[in-house]
Amino acid sequence: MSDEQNKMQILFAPVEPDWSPGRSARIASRIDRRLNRSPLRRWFPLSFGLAAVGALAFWFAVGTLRGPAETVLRFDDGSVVTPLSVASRVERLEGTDPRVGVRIRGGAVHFAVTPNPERIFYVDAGPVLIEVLGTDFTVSPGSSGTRVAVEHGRVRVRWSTGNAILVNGESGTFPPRETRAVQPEIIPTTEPIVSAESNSETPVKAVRSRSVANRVAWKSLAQSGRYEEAFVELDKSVRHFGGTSVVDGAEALLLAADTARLSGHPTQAVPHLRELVRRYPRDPRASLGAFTLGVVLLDELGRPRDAGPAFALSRKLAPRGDLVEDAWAREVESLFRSGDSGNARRMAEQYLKLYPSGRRAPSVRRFGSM
Amino acid sequence: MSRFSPFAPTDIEMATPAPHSLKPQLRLIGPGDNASGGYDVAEAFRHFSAYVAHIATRILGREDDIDDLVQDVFCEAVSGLKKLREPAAAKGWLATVTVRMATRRLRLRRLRLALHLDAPVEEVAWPGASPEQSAMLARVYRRLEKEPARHRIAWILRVVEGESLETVAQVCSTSLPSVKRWIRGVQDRLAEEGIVNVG
Repeated sequence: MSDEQNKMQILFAPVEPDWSPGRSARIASRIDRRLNRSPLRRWFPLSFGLAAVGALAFWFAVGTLRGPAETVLRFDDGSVVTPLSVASRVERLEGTDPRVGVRIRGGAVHFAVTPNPERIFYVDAGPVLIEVLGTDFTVSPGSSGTRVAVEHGRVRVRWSTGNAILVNGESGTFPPRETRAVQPEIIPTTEPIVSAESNSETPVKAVRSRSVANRVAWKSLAQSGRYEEAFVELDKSVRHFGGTSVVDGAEALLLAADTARLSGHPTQAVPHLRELVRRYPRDPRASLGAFTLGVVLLDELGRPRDAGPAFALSRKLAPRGDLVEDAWAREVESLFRSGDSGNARRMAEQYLKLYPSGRRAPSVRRFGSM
Repeated sequence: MSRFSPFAPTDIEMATPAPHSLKPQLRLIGPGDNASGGYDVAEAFRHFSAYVAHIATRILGREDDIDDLVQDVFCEAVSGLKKLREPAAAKGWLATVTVRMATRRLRLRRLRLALHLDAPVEEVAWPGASPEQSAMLARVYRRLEKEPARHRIAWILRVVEGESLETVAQVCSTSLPSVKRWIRGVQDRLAEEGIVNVG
């Protein structure tokens, strides 16, 4: 990035404050006045009690208040725990390797945990316990449960009667409503978090039990072709439970993607399709999922740069499948549309070598500029 | 290490005149005094107010909030600096507070933009910038306006200020992998819009 850095440093060179002695003295004088206000004057604004409380509540709601810098916890391996509001209370738990623990006593807290398969990082958030390998996520305890939102990576949320796994971009409120009445103590285990592949069916078990009604509703609506109504039900579940956790099985993910797409919400189809190829790469429908993802990104969302890799994945998942020629042609088109005509031509040449009289040859020639 | 690195030796002073109006009773530093290694607010202001204004300007992309922000940072410094055990850490501490306060302002600005209470970034005629340069700067800041506040700040500190990734992570109170991901994300989106080249 150094060339780019040099260019940016030159570009930004004029962005400097006009820091004159007069301006500096003026600010110093304002600081002085502010610090030397009488206690009565200093605290007078707080007499507007309701207004202040209202404003504070507003700031809390939009997450703009940060805890004091001193409350940030830093670990030797580079992991950082950051309180997100003045109400956030967090403490490090005493423990020995391979377990490292943090307890949240209130307020939202952000975690940036450095990946380390040798130890288990866990968060005690009262009724739920979160275990993590390496990830960024936020935990927000609330009266209706503890909300866990994973930005990147993978965590397991455990509560008294079950557990769920959340991955990139997923979020949810735990424990599930019907289990909140019973809250025995949760003991952290040394059981490691299993890989995505070996745990593909178990992560969302507990969440799944809550969502039966919604799942039945959206599925039956979608299967009868009522995609708009199905999308409303599906969207409710996704918003309530978070991410794609309400949808299980390759077939259901494909159906959820179709529901979103065919009801005019292509953006919402993308996470279901990504989840399908991530969670079920060996499923015969994975290649179709990747191809559909490419079509949505290229044709409906105008993102050719993202569409190319999806078509490439479709070919890779089923090298002898029915879609391979189509995926190849659409990949050439994606490369062309993203401005990478060199690679488009290279891909086109490879296609014509493999399929000299292929049914997509005209399209490949056109987008390969041949 | 850049000229403005929070971890540069503290004897790199900015050309700021002594703020004589800061009264002696503001000398609130540490268990001891300057002789025992303490650091007072007047001294911190004299050494680092220009530095704080500089990074705040780069981050916010306009000058109208800078005076208030500098004021807020040094008001917080009155209680914060006295907790520092090592006076040499004052500059880094001020950088962290500046970033935290700038983050709040950026978030508030995004909210105001969403509520149509504020206008999007307009072209600023920075002294010494050509019209093309000013137009390009406005374009970059308009794109950065759409980024999460901390991602924007990490990108500015790394790419524009040339800070090390470790420093950026520390100042942004996050981990190294997060900072790398944030910067790469901003860089990719700027590249998508043809503002920068992907390196």
